[in-house]
Amino acid sequence: MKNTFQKITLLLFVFPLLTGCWDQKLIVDQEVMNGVSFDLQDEKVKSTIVVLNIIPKGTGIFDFQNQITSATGYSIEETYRELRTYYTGPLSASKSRIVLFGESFAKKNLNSYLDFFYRIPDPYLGSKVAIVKGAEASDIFSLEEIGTNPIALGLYEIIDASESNSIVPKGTLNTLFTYFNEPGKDFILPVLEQINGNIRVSGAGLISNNAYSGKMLPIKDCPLLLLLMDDYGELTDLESYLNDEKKLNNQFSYRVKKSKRKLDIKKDASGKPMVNIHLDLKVIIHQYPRTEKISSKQIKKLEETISRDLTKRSQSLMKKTQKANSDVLGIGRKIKETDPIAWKALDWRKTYPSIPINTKVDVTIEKTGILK
Amino acid sequence: MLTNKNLFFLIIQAQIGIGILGLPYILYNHVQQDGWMSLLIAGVLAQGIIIILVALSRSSPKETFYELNHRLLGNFLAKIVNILYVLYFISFSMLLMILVTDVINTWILHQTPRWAIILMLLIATSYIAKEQIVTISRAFLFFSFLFIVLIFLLILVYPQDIHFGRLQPVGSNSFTDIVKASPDAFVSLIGFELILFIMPYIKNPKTSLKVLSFANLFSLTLYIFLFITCVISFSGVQFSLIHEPLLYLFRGMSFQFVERIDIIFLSFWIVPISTTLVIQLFNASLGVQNIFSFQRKKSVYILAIILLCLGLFPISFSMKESLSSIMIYLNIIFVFIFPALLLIIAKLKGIKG
Amino acid sequence: MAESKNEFLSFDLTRNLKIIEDKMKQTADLKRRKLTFHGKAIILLYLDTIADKESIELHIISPINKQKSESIENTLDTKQFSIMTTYQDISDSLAEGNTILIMEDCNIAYSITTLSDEKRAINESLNEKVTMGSHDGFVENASTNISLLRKRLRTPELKVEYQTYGTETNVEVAICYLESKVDPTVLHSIKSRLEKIKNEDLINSRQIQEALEDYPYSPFPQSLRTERPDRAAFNLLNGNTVIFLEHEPSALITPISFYSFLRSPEDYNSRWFVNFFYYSLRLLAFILSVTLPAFYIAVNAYHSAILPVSTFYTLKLSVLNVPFHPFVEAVMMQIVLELLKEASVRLPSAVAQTIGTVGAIVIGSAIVQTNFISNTMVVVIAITAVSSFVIPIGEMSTTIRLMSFPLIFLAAMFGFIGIAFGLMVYTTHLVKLTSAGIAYVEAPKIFQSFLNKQPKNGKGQDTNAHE
Repeated sequence: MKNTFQKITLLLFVFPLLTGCWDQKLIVDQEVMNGVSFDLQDEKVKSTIVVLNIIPKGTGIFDFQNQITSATGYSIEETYRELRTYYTGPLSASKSRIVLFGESFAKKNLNSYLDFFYRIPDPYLGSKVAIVKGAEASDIFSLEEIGTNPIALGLYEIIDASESNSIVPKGTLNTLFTYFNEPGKDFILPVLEQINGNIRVSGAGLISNNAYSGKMLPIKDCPLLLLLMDDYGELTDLESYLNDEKKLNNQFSYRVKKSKRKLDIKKDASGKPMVNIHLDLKVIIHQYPRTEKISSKQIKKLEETISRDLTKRSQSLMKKTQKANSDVLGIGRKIKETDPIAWKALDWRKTYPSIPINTKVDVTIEKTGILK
Repeated sequence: MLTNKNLFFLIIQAQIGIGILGLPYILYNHVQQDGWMSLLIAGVLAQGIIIILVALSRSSPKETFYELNHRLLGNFLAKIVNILYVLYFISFSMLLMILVTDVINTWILHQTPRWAIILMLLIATSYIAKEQIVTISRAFLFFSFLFIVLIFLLILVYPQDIHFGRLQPVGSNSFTDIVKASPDAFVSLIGFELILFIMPYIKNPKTSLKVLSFANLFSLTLYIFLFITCVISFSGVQFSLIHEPLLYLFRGMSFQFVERIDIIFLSFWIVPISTTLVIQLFNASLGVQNIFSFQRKKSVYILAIILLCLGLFPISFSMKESLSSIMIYLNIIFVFIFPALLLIIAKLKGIKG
Repeated sequence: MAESKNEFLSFDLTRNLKIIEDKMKQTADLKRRKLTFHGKAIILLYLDTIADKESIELHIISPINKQKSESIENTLDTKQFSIMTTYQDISDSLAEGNTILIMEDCNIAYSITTLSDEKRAINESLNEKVTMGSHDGFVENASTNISLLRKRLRTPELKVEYQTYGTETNVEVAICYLESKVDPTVLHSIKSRLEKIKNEDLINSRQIQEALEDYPYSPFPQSLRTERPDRAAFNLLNGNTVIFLEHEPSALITPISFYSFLRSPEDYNSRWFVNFFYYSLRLLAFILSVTLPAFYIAVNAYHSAILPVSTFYTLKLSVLNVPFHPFVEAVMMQIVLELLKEASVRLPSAVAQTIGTVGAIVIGSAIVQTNFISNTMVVVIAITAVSSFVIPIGEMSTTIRLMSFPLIFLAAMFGFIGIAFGLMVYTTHLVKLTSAGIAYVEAPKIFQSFLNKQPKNGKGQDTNAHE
């Protein structure tokens, strides 16, 4: 009897649960945005989203279709509310692969705009972020597909590839959140460009104080910058000219196998920081203008050439970042960590463009490929 | 009887629970990157208290704390103290339940009403808490598998975008600030007071101090590891914004097969959180058994129903905040000050185990 | 008949016969045969249906007819017999298949063992097949079964105790154990538990199982029923007790640990890494069959955010036109599966194959084409079923398949959190269980059991099975 009573009470407790399934979000009902882009239009935000629809065509065969919609408003939330009305189910950003900014939008303080992604737990923070040059960001989406991939996924892949090619450091919405709030450290974002109906990563956009500075580094300089940042990808290839002669078929290229960066900050008499960067690279020759034996004497010479070339280039690179006022190396952060008192006395935004930065690159050639 | 292994897992499961989710945030907001020092201080404090508690429980290893009170304080006073302890455990459980439902509601189940989660939680925990302590400890041993998962996931953070420099400058906060933050850290180490109630069930009471110290060390190391991992992955302002850094840490990670580990992790982290509740229920039920001489099983059910009723009350944000700040002091009174007093009384009366 | 319960035989043959026939309720298969031995009338009584007539002819009738010796005892010396003095003994003995020999003017009777041994030949067990290892299996005869054990354990330590249960069934139960290995307290508790059902009429070994189990309401079997002598012998060596019920072709092993249910005797016959692999595989199968459907439902109904984008679309595509909630889908599919399984068990093997085909092809593919159940759900349930069939012991296999239902329900209610709570309760339940007073699920011993040398209670490496 007692047992029956217990069971009945248990059931009484369990039955109310049957009314439940409060939070159910069936996969069928979900509408997920794959790509988002933001542009600035008449001092309003224009958000465009891509939702990938899958159309089944019999067992195992399907087709996809991008449903692209835009809305303008004073805040992202406002545009989102409008965008929601276009779709059949609850719209969520849990599968967004890419976030694009139009050039003019990127020049705003991005941190305050993206709060939408960080404050609620739904959105996916692994999305890649990029700036679109030369056109509205939303135009990119109208391409529909890249290769065989739907546009949003294709863009993700493109940026992913450029990360492994050391054009931009690994970055997602999540790392952005970190850097937005990091004093004394700026970052770079990939810049996308549409050329003849194809999209490519055309360089790295320097971000200064959470906004795009408008300055972009071309692709050939990017790997070096990443080496200086000590944040390079799997394949880091660079080129130099033989004997510094810029002519046809006089370039040799090399792949960085190992890199060691030393960042020294000293203070001069007036308390202004002075930065010395020393880069120690181990490279293998990747391509050489002539198919011939490279003697060890020649190797010595090549090492000198590369070192000289890279030192010069890195010098000018640092100048560029200073011009853009984008402390991508995190020199300010380093000062903050090692010398907090000095950091407090500095107005970094004003100081950074004017501090002297010396770079020195030393290169050792370890191998010459499979040919000697 | 509880072997050393059983005791160890009981204690770490009692210590580690909901606290781990929010602890780095609280510490960081107080003392920034020096939070680990506060943790260390809290750990030393906890170690001191463990020594006191073990000494107290050893003074009569065959009795639970409630019975000990009767002998040391006389029946009337003991009854009051025991009731106070039961109330303390109830309010601790209450706070725990509020925090759990809060986290679940913000992170996973946004619409599920509080009572449903509390009901689930109470059914599961009272099912465990009604068992004997040996069974509980053996179940906890299995649940401890989740700690390995946690440590593994934390290690996976390291290949991500981290910056060790964020730990610097070391010691930028004044020593008093660091000490002031340690009670917040101490709350997360609470749980070892369980020793007072399970002494009669321990196989070799002599080694209990060592086991407890190891358990404490484990929890402390885990917390410090977690805190350091959080510091190096979040930048300053960002860290001070994130309520549950542990979950946010996992939110940013994604793998080939699973994109959102935070959801899976939090869902299953419910288990270690529940174990803390199980311990609270167990302690309280021993008290109820002692005061009203019910069966322990029955007292667990009664307590569960009381907690369910309490959980049905609407609780505002400010109430939650004030309850958690009161709880910090209650913890110190009930876990530290009172047992210390009792130990002095025991020594004065010259009771030996 | 109460008055004649302990009544002794009289010297009056006709009276004796009458009383015996009354005691046997005048049953039609009670045969009597009249012989003469040195001038005295001898009556043979036996139950036609269970006595071995050839043996009666050969060992009783022909020696008596030859009249080799003066005394009847010497004449019967080739055959095992015992002397009976009460009617009760005689009728009991008749019921057991013995032949009763009564002489004129004699108040004792001889009971001669003539039970016809209609046993099944020793065959391979159908339910616990192995690829490596012995192929003999228990039969419906306890003494044969014990002989199978004795062949493996040639030691005087192997002790067998017979007890008879039930007023009507009078069935023998044999308790076997190794005196040197068994824990006396455990043995004592087993015996006292069996003592409680002394008067119950035992037909199935389930009745013994129920008496032995500490938690009869638990869904998990707490004693292992095996048809394999090698498994029984192995467990005997570990100090467990093996119980046979006459007419039941299986042995009950108790106490037993949960991990033993995941073990097949051929594990111990393999190299250690093969052993380890298959054991891990079964653990995985256990976890999968309990959690997989629930996990799928939770992902489908709550946490699609955790899926990578390609999987998300694959899944979405497969459930796009299915009208049912995944919970309903899962329950429907589980029921279909159980129906198919049950149907094929009952039917002759040739027809069962047809059922398999019908199930796999017709129902499986048609149900997807008609959009009743999604492709993924069919896959999920199929994997669940296959993993549950991997478990070597049928009882456990069914249990764990059914254990997935509460989790499915919880997953449909709360998503992953429901599963976490469910598993928490499952684990506690498993940990709580004891088998004859010994813990059912011990803390995992990481490196011990997959080494073939010293397996302890069949336990082994365990990755916390239920978390």
